[in-house]
Amino acid sequence: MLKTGVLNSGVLSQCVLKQGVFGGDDVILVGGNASATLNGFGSMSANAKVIRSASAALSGVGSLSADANIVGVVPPISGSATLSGEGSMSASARAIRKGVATLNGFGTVALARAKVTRHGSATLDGVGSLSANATLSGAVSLPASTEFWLDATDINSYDNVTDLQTWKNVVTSPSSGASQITYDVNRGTTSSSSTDDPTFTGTAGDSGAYFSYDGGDLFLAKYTNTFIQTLTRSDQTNEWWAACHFRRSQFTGGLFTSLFSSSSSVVSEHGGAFLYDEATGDLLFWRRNATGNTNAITIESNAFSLNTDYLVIFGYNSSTGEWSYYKNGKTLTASGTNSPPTSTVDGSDKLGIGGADGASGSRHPNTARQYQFGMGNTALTSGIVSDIVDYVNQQSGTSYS
Amino acid sequence: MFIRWKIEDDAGFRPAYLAETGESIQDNPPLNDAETHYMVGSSRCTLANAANLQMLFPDVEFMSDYPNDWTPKQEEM
Repeated sequence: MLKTGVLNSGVLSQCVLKQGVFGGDDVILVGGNASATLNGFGSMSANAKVIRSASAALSGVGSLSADANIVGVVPPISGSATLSGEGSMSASARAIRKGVATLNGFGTVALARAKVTRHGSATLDGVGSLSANATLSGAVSLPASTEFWLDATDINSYDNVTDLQTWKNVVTSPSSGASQITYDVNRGTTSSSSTDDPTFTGTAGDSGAYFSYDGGDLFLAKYTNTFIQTLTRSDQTNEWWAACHFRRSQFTGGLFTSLFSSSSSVVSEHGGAFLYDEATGDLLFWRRNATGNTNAITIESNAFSLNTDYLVIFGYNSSTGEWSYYKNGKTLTASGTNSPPTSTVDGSDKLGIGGADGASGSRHPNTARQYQFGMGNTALTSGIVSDIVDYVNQQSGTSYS
Repeated sequence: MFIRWKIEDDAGFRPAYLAETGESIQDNPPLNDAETHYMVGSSRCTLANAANLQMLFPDVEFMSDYPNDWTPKQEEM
């Protein structure tokens, strides 16, 4: 037992730390076990970080200084983390909590730029207060039409510990009734470690986490499924949306960069791809039917700047060819109608993100990033766009509006 | 780490790379426009791995930065 002293960068399990002081840049891991408690009159200085596991609690008259972080419940996600009592957070302090997190009592979120972001069934009650320009964002959920959602910032999607080759779908009940794992994707083309695996960067569950591409990487779905194989069938009224949060890094020197694709480069293969034309700078939605007829819609000219993050949301009706497109926010960027090539059979390829099944080209360039990718199986509406934008802001700490 | 090697070294380099790093080289690695070299990036290949492989394959390049002279093969969708 440490009664009086200084603990730097230690790990605490099933302990009670009272009246402790965490200095700048210290990282305290209260991990691995339930019922760990930090209480009393503890305080944390700038850049201090507390990571807590299930049922951990920070209570009492604690305080967080600028840039301090509380990263709440790490698996299991169902834990009940609590920040209670007369705690306060200073400017730029940030609490990110998941699961059934609660901030109650006489808590104060003080000063400008303080931010509380909560996931799940979070509540703020008691005599709390928010100062000027502070942001309190409540629980935001994905749209009900979401078929799958892959999220580098969600520890349920990638925990960087178990099953390192799989980026998991976090939608437990896909809108179509398909099983959750149907939409899991491999890092790379296979479930084995290979040089085409995007690299996870950051801390699992943290808002700053992402996957990095190196010019030859992609994510490829583990399974074929009806939703992806019928995306561009013209004889069915398939209405769907796709959301891709990524960083455009540099020119590839190739012809195209694929944000996502349901088709390989095989000429007879049916499918579609959302492509960036490296020669013209245009964002295209490209379709091909089983007889090799192709058609490309120019969604936006000169769509992306280098070394810049983008959230693009695209909606499509496969029978009418109607489409809509939103970039970096809730305001419609472009829309139109373009008759698709007749396509009456299912494709056989898997979903590719950052590349295409069976194709070695069209990969994201070196240092490009993937934050989130998801799709839904209804027509895209302004309400769905709003939900997606809010959810991405919650997850990645962005401010698309 | 970026690794670039000649196509004619491919058959020998692949198993050596797998044995050294525990990571396979993808089936279709990016090819340069002249179709003479492959190149991949790896977060798993260490400097020690590179040094060991360099002794076996002196022509293979191991680079910490993405090479400016790399021009990928142009591929149609």
